[in-house]
Amino acid sequence: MTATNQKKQAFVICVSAAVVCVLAVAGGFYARSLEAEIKEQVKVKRQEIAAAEAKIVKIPSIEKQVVMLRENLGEYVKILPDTKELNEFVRMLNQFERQSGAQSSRLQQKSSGKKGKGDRFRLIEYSYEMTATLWEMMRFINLVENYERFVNISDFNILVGNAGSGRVSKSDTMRDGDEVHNIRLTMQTYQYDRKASAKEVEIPDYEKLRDTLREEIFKRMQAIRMEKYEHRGQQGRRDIFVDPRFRGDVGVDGLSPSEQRAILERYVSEADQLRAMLQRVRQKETTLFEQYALEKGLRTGILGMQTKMESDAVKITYAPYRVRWVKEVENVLEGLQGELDRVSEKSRGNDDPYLPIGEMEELVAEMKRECENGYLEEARQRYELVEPQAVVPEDDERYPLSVEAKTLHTKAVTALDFRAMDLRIQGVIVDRSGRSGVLLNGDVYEEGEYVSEELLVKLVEEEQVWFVFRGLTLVRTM
Amino acid sequence: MIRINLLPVDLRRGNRLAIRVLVAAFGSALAVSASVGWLGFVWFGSLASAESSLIEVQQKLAAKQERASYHDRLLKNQRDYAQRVQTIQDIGRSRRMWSKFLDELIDVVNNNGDTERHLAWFTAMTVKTDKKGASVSIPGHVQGADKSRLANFHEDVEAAPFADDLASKSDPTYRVETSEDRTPPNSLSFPLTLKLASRVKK
Repeated sequence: MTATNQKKQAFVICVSAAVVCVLAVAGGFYARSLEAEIKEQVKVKRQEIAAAEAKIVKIPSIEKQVVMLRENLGEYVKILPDTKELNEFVRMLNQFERQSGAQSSRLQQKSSGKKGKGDRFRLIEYSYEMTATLWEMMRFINLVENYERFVNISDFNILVGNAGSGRVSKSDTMRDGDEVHNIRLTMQTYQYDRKASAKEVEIPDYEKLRDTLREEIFKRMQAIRMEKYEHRGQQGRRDIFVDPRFRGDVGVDGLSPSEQRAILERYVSEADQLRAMLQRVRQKETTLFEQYALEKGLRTGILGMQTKMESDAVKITYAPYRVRWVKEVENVLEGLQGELDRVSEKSRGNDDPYLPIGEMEELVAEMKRECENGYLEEARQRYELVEPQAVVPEDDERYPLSVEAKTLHTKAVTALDFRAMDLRIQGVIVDRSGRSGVLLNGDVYEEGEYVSEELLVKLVEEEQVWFVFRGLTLVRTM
Repeated sequence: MIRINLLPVDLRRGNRLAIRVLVAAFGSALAVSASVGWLGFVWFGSLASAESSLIEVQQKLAAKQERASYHDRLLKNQRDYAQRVQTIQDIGRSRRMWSKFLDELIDVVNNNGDTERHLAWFTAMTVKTDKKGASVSIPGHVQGADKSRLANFHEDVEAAPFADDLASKSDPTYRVETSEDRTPPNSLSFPLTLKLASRVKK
């Protein structure tokens, strides 16, 4: 019995110890698994920290990119009109018509592109019908394409003269000696919806960062500058939509093509002779005396040709010869005259710090043309590029041209500043017997009243208001 | 039932601890201390250290996460802006300056007044634009019955500045037409279709 008790005791001790051991070992393994789990978490967290650190390192460069893109985008979307500017666009079409001579008969919105949720750009299409000569049409299209807002001419067709629709009335088949055509254009533009944009992240010290990146922002902005093209005008070229062959019933009184060709060839030959003389003037080995004689001869030759041309130019009626006449006679003569002026200027002295008279005249002519056509920014830049050479002393013969160029520059700058002013004409009251008034930016001003120190309301009409801004009269249309 | 031990005291076995029990107790005590000791080491040593490391990295991560989330928002903004800028650039680049194209076409047709090579004119013009590019259809005539002038004209079209964008051009075909009221009366009527490639590169 005692042996049995001892066995039992030993068994109980062993079992109890085994249970405790098993529990302890199980606990140990559980703790180990917890530890492994935690270590795995730590590993993951460390990776996340590394990823976060990698992101943090990139923050300054992304901030720069975002600032540049945000600034650029702000500029880019300026080329796309908003609703108010679409009304302005219609007004501009009217102005382009006046400038080009084209006559429109219809403007219709073709489709207003459906805008999905989150779409930021909406396509707007206009169908436009007009009658115009080829040159009027070219001018009109060029003005539309050079408009400050983005306009794309997607489709167009030209129906020659009276062909097709018959919109060209019989009394309007010719304008300035050119045939009138029926033209239909489809113009596209896009409207930008700022509301559909994602929320902007607030960047600390944004203005400071923007200022430091100004140069880079400007550089990138150049990439989106709208392509522009300056239409060269007719330049003696014939309308490619007109049959250039001789008609039996037209121009029977004029010279035959062979007679016209003889006149043309004679002038071309004379122009070639004058060109050869100019070459000799330029040669270094030509003495001063010879140079003087050649210049004199050249001037007399050019003058003589110009005098004869007045009567002979009208005799060249055959379209292909007209092109050659302009290119090979008129343009050559003009070029020779310019070259001669330049050569004379040069020989007068190289120490002249100012623009030669020819270039000064060209500057004034170009600025005038740009101001008339609404390219004010270009006119301003053109003058500022040569300003140090354009301001000549009062006793110089170029002084009147210098003053004229300066005046044009002032006008361009004034008009640009006026254009940039926030003037919202909300209504007009036209009183023919008394003083009319205008509701401007929420305030009423009568004719003769100052809006600001530099801006005066001059005249109020039903569709436009005349202002005097820095002494210059400018018009804002409703 | 009562048990009575009748053996003399010295012969009795029950008063001393049996070796078996002693060994079992000692062995058990050893095993229990070892296992409990190991548990303690793992629980309060390695596991506690791992937990404190976890707390440390969690705090560190929390500190970095705010900046990282700023980075993510910036990146989202950047992608959004870049996409919009790209759209505007595509819109801008897709535009063809038709006044330039027409000016160049007029130059080709006028050919500096050289009527010997060709003297052409058109009877209409239709331009259509889609995503693939632009299609220009300009049926016309070349003066005279000399077919080589039509070939010359086609050659000049192929050499024009706008031909850089030319994806395809219709081949020269003609039909002789006569207008008695014109001098010369004969002309070669031809269809001409130009396909201009899209200006936006994919």
